[in-house]
Amino acid sequence: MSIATPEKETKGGIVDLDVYTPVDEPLTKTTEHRGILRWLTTVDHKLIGVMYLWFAAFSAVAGGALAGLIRSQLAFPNGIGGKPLMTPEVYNQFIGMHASFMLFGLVIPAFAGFGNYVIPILIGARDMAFPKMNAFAFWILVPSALLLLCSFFFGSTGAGWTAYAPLATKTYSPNIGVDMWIFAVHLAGISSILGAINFIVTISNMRAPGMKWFRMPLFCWATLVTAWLQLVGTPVLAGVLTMLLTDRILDTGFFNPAKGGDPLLYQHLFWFYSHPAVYIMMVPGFGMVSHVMQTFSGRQIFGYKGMVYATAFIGIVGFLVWGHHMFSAGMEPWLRAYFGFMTMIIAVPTGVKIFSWLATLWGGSIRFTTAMMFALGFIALFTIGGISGVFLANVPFDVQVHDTYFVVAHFHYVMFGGAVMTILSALYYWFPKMSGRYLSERIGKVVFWLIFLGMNCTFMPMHWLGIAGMARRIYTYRPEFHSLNLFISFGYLLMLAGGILLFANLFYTLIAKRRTVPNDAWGGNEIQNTLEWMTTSPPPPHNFDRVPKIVPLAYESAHH
Amino acid sequence: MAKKDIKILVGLWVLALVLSALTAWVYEISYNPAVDTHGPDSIVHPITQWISLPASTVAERVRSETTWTIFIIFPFLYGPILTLLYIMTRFSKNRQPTPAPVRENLKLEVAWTTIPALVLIAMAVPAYDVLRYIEAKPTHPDQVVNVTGAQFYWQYELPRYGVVTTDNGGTPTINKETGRAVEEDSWLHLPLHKSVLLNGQSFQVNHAWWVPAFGVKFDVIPGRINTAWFDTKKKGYFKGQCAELCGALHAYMLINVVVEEEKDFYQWVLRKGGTIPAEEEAKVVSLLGADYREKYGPKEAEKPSAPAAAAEPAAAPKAAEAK
Ligand SMILES: [Cu+2]
Ligand SMILES: [Cu+2]
Repeated sequence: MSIATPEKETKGGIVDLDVYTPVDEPLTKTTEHRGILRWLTTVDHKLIGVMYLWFAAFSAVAGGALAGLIRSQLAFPNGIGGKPLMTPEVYNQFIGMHASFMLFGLVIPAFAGFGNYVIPILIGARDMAFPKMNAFAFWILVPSALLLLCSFFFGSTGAGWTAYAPLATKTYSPNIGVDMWIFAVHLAGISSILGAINFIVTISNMRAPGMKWFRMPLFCWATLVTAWLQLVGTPVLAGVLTMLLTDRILDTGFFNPAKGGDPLLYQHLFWFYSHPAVYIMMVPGFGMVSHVMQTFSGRQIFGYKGMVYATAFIGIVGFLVWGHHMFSAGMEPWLRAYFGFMTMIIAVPTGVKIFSWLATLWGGSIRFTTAMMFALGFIALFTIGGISGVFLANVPFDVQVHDTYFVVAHFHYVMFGGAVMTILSALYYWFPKMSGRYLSERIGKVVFWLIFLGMNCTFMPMHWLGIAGMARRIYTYRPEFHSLNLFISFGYLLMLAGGILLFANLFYTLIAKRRTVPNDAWGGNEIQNTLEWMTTSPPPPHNFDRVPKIVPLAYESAHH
Repeated sequence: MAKKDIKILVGLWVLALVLSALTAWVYEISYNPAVDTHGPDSIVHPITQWISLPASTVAERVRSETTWTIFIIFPFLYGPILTLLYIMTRFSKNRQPTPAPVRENLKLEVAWTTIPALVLIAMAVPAYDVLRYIEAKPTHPDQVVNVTGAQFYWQYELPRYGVVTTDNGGTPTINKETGRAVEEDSWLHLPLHKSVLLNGQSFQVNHAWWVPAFGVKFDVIPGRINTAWFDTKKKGYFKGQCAELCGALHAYMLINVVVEEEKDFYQWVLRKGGTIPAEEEAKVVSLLGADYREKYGPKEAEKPSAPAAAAEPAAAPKAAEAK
């Protein structure tokens, strides 16, 4: 253990308690099993975090394969040699499944994985507050994914991941696969809620002595805000899906106008969760890249408190804008104006974050590691996604491009350029800590460029397609859109190559490389001063031999 | 921050402004009102045509407002990206072996919070003006069309003339001799230079009626009547498509609308077996002659009987119109 030496205290840093604090028996003492049983029975936050990440990797493969099927259909909308590749029914299921796997299977679990692994260490705790609940929250994802996979064979949701009523009701989607899909999302929701409770309690109560709120690293803040979003939002999603389910099974008619229900109610409730969900899938990434940028620029984050306030502000206002998904659905005129206005407001704290990152990098000494490349790529791509978001807050423009490929382009720049880039950045950044092995930097650069270029080739032309008049979720399109769609499918192949290379390198590293990583895997942690780099790689089951004590941190000493 | 740094930053953001102006200009000149030949051959024009030829005031206003938005918002696209590229070249480990310590700069933080907020207001003001125009639906529209979305076709009723027509979507077949589409009569026809109020409804699932050239997109949702309006400013064929996932054949729910001279429009009404209301009689006589019914109406033998399906959808929107 190389917890900082006492003389460091004078310039701020992290030191041991003066008196050795005897700690409880390691929480993971019970898990004495070896091999597969060790994974099945563990309540160690690190092992659970790793399992979350493998789960996310599996979902990425499933969601990525589905994206390939979608792209092949759109590359050859008239089939190959006169034979159609798939039926429209199957195509519609593919788009719904692609989104379900990517959102509920990849992005949310990946952030939960990094959070689980890193958060307790970052705050100097020995585990999450509720280790068994933590394990439960993970394991309930497995039946969720199985249901999602199996729903394919029973005719899953052909109504997209949004599953709007009435299209998703029994009359128009009679297949049992839709019910399975609803259950799958329910289980994922339970996992989300339990995970959120765990993070909130852990971060609120288990910080090491001296780790005041405003000494917490940004990823802790990001996870805390996200957890609150999940806790408030997910029950609403569960509620609306339950109503859909009872409409399907018990014929309750919540969304059936003939029975006094209203299809528009579904959209309001659905987006009340699903807009904040956008931030659930973004905010942890904001936190993670902040760590990466500090490490590889050699500078502390610029405007730490501004970043914290911006994140919290995004979280709160995120609950007040859901109507921007429904500008063409019919609502009171003043309500359209209101939702457009609030959506514009969100652009301000988002801008604050981008400017703060740039100010952090300005004057730095940048090491272009793969993690850093992904973080820098994130800034560029997320800026593009943010700007198209401002365009969508502009109501008349939104009405014109709503439900077109412009929107598809926008949310892929946010979800892929934002969330996935930060996940890959964090993977390259924390993989050495988790496994004790470095991923190849040389291959990493190739992976980055394949994914970065492929991503832009795929999603940039979609902006134009949408403005020009191509609706989304269509199985075939007008001939004038063919050449660009071919090009887009080519862009997908670049990303696919990047993904395969990444997985190959991941497995090779885990199998063939030895553990060589020092505590401070990337060096220079005295700038950022976060705890994960002060313990071994990988950390011992109880994280720290002694409870660390945090003294005024560099954030404060530099600013005041 | 050093003086030099400030100069560089200002330079980068001025460059971003110039690039934004350039982008907005390129977008603007792709609007070419000189190409106003929206004649019968416009049927072969791609749907992308709407960008150079918006065909209603709403679409024109959306378009010019987009140019303004590009001009005023794109600096925040080019600015960060140019700054990032500059940072990557100047502050690499090779060129800058030791990082400079972070210093607080409250002025900077206040600036990058307030300036974007002000710019957003500058974007919002004209946007809300257009929105107000969109919401200002005419109380006495020249034409009322009841639009019904169904799996998987569009049905239109012109209650004033008792005309009901069904557009089955799909790609039109062009008659080589006339250069016109075989299905043309089943599409929605509208007279030129008139305001049109659309009442949208559905009895099954959600759809969205979208014709980019009119700048109109509105969902049709069971249990409610949504309305939208536009004015017809250009003659020709206009293409659109269903913009809300509605089932397997959603992609095939294409829309075709014909905007034509009033006399051609009345001929279509008569061909469809419509009746001319008394208050329009004089106008139709002046346009088509006193014997318009014999000349243009359907021959006795082929008089179309109103489709049975039309009876139900027709009832609800009438109430809406009365309101
Ligand atoms: Cu949203
Ligand atoms: Cu549709």
